[in-house]
Amino acid sequence: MNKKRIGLTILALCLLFVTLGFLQRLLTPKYVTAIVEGSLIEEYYHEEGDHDVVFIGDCEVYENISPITLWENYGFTSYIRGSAQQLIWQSYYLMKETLRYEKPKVMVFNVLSMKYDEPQNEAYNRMTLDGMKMSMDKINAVKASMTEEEHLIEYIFPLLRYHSRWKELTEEDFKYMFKKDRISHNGYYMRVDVNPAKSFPKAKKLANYQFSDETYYYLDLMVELCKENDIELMLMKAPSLYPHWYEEWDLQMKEYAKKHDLKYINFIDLIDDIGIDFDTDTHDAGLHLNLSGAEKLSLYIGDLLKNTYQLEDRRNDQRLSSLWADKIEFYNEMRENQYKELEKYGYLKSLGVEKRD
Amino acid sequence: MLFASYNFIIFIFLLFIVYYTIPKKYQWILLLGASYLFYFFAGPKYIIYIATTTISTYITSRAIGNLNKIQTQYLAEHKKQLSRAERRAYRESIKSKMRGWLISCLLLNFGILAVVKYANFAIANINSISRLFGGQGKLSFWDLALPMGISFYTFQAMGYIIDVYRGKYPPEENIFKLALFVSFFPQLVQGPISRFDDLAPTLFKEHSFEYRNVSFGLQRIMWGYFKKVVLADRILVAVNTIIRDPQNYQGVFVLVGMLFYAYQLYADFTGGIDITIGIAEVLGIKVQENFERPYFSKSVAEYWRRWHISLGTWFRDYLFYPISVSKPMMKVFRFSKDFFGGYLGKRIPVYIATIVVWFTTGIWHGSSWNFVLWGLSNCFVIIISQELEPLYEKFHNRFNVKHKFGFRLFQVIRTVLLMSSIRMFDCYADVPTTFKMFSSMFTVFNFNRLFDGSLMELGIDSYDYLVLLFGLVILISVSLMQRKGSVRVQLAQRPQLVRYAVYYALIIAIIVLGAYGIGYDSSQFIYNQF
Amino acid sequence: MRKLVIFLMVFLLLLTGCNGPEDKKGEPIDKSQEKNSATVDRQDPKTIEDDEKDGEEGEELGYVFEINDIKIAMHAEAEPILAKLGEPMDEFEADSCAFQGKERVYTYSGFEVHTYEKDKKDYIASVLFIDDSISTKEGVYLYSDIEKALEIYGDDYIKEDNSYKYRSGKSEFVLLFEDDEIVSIEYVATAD
Repeated sequence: MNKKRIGLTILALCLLFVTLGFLQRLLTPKYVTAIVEGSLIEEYYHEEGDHDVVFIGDCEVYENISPITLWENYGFTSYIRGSAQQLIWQSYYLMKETLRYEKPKVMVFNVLSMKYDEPQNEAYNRMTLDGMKMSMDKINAVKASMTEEEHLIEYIFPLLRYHSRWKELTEEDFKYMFKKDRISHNGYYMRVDVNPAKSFPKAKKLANYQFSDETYYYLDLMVELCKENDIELMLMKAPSLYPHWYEEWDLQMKEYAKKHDLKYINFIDLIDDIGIDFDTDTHDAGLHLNLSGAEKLSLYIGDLLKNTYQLEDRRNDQRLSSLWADKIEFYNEMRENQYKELEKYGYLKSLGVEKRD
Repeated sequence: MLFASYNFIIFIFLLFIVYYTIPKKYQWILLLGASYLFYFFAGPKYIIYIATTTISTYITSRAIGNLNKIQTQYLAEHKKQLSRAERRAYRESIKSKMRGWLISCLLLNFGILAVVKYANFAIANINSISRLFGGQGKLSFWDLALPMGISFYTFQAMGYIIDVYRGKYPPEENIFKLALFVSFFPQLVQGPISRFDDLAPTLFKEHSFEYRNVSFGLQRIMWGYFKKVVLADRILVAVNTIIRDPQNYQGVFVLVGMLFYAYQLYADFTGGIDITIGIAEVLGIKVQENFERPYFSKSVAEYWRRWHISLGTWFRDYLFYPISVSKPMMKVFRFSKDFFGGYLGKRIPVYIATIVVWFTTGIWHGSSWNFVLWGLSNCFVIIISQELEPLYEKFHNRFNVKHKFGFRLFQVIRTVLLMSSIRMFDCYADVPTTFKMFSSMFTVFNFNRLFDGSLMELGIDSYDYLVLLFGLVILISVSLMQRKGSVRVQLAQRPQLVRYAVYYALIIAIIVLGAYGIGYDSSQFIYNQF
Repeated sequence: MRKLVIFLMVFLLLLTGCNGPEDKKGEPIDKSQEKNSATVDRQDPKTIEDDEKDGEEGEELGYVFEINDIKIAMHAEAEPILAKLGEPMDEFEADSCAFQGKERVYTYSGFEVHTYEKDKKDYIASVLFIDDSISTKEGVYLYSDIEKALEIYGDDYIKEDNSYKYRSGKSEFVLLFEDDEIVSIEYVATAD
């Protein structure tokens, strides 16, 4: 009798946990259509093989650099661990976490996030952190990122955060509960649409141009981490016209790079060399590059990386080339599809882009 | 730490585990530690207030106890020598010393309560009065933060000291035990106001782990969270939308707000008490019930015997009775009997005592005229219905409807509506707004707006309404079941499978349907600010 | 013993009386942390409204920029204000990453209005002076003397590097200076 009771209790508890796990999967946002950027971080775990270069940073990396182009033209493998408004401590912990899986030769960090020295926005936090697998790095990243309204436990059990989404469930939530479609190209978020850059408001004056100690602290940690692991760290600033990248900021980065013997490239200064034309190479009026822009930038970066860090051309590697052949196919397919969609609707409906008048 | 916070849930679960693993004789000490820790989270500096109340109550109770002992001893020793008059004189002198102690203690503690809670109310009133007479009226307010639970623990401690004075029980000799009685954390935030002789026997006892206590307690806790988090916090958004925008929400919305508030308050307050009693139950401690299906009451007087019971009985035992039999009241009684004669003469002292009690009850709830008027409205309704009693009697003699279901239902609905409309005083910002809104119910005819989608713009959507409706059905069903005794006992007689299905549903409902977290931060925010 | 009680009583009255100023500087005060049962915590909406009423008139709206009798308060809904301001000289729109709302900038003669998007509606994020053709309603304009401005706005500022910040409600009024000259004037919507 007693045994039966205990058995039933254990069974009931199991059932409860299974249900909760099931609900958690169901209610967590899927980011497979519209805001696909939320899937970027997670997609890394499905990736096979190691990488020569890992890019880390915000939208200025995942929208501007195409690993496929790098492979096709230079034969080195790369991955972008980027996410929307990735903050510097998130970048650091992602960098650290990446080392659990592989040891790239070069890590490239985009320095725009130096301007944020405190937690910003829950939605962005979620897009970066939810995708991370559970680890101490994740916990630390969460702790560093939380805004006042957030709780660590809601990151450990996302159900506690997303429980109210039962009201908004769509077909997508059921469809992608256990398996999601691939949405990126080694972390690159493809956009083929064009929205030419226009004028920008003048950069406003700041009270203080000095990056804060907090952000330098994490930058130092990155430098240290790469040194310890014998990884080359390169700093970059993507060629985005907006938000404004101040001279004073640029100088600080230059000095920092010099002091730590790193390479820092501000691609804004190289826009003409790269050949970016902001009438055709941007999908959001100069903030981010579209596919054509990203491919141009990638060609330039590829050349730079190859020459600076003497990266090997691995296109002759059988295993790798068959792996990448599949990626290239997916890349071309998505490009075709986006062009088709563009032709049909005039804008990229499936990515949640709004129609422009 | 709010009941509905992750920290609190983790806190109580850790406590439960530690409580049943340490040697039993330390259990009550653990509770004391936990209570002060709980208090510490609310703001370390407030500990001084609760400690002062505890210490002063302890000193006074011991002094009274000692005087009692001295008296007994003296009288026993000098039994032969003393005349009856001398003995009485001696008793009188001891009694007066005791009274001195009691009064100092009451003055100190109610004084603290008055200062922290009512100083700003008094200042505001002084300012308005001075402005009335052309003055500046610019006394600045004191920035006094109200120590958590001060109204509750003060009343609880003062009830204890009065009982000791009355010789109802001997004083507690261990100050730390008294400290636990005053600060017992589950009931610190919203009551109930326990009596020492009710709580003490189980509070300080050694408890071994008993499956039934723990499982019943946990069930009660979950039920409480369901009411609070799923229902009360959900409807709170709509209540706030209505009452914070009296310009836009008049007429039928006032009625809607009133009924929603009745729902919110019931679910929130009884849910909180369920959590309190449930936590105590898991610990093996018995806390008295504070509600008895109040919305099934057939009159306002009955409602007040069934809603926040511990407060009502506190006022009855420690305010109403003492006033009624006090010397000045006797004088009033004699005077009014002579002056008004017969019936009215007898009633006037009752009125006075009732008015004093309700005035105090009102102001206890909050330091504003809203609450004073709220209390007095209750008082008014109760007195009127007492006075109309003979009329009802006649009515019932003439028409035999007293036991008819329809008539009882009418009485219940009438009571709920009456209580809800009185409660409007504690919804709206000030007294004039309250009156304006109340009258708008009868002057602004906008029933059509119930159907034009406005209800969906109160901050809750159709899914929320569905949950609330479903919750209402459950609340009513459970209340109906309770009339046959404890629902948990009834449930325990069912097969294990049924019971588990109920737990399962409750847990999933709380987690998924709960109105907590970021989607609800705005309401949460308001909630923390009060 | 009784002396002790009296002592405690006096001590506590002192204590309660002295608590005030200390609190003032610190965190916002919790009006009351306790729930008083029957009518539990219904004090909340009231206390908040009371606060708004009691505070100075500007406190609720914070700093308001006024131009041509058009009032621009921070966090105010942008649409009616923009309608009154008329056709801007220039308009700029910036997507944020991952569709988290758009930032828009409208340039008018002398100033820019920045907006942020929340739940598909635009709200005023800031007003930035871009030349000295306009001034604040207190008469402060770009490139004027910072000392004069401080005289006008008082000393209840936070000085950070080369800026003076004044806070009110959910807004800030920020002056930047270089060599005693005001180089930037901005009204900013803040989170709290």
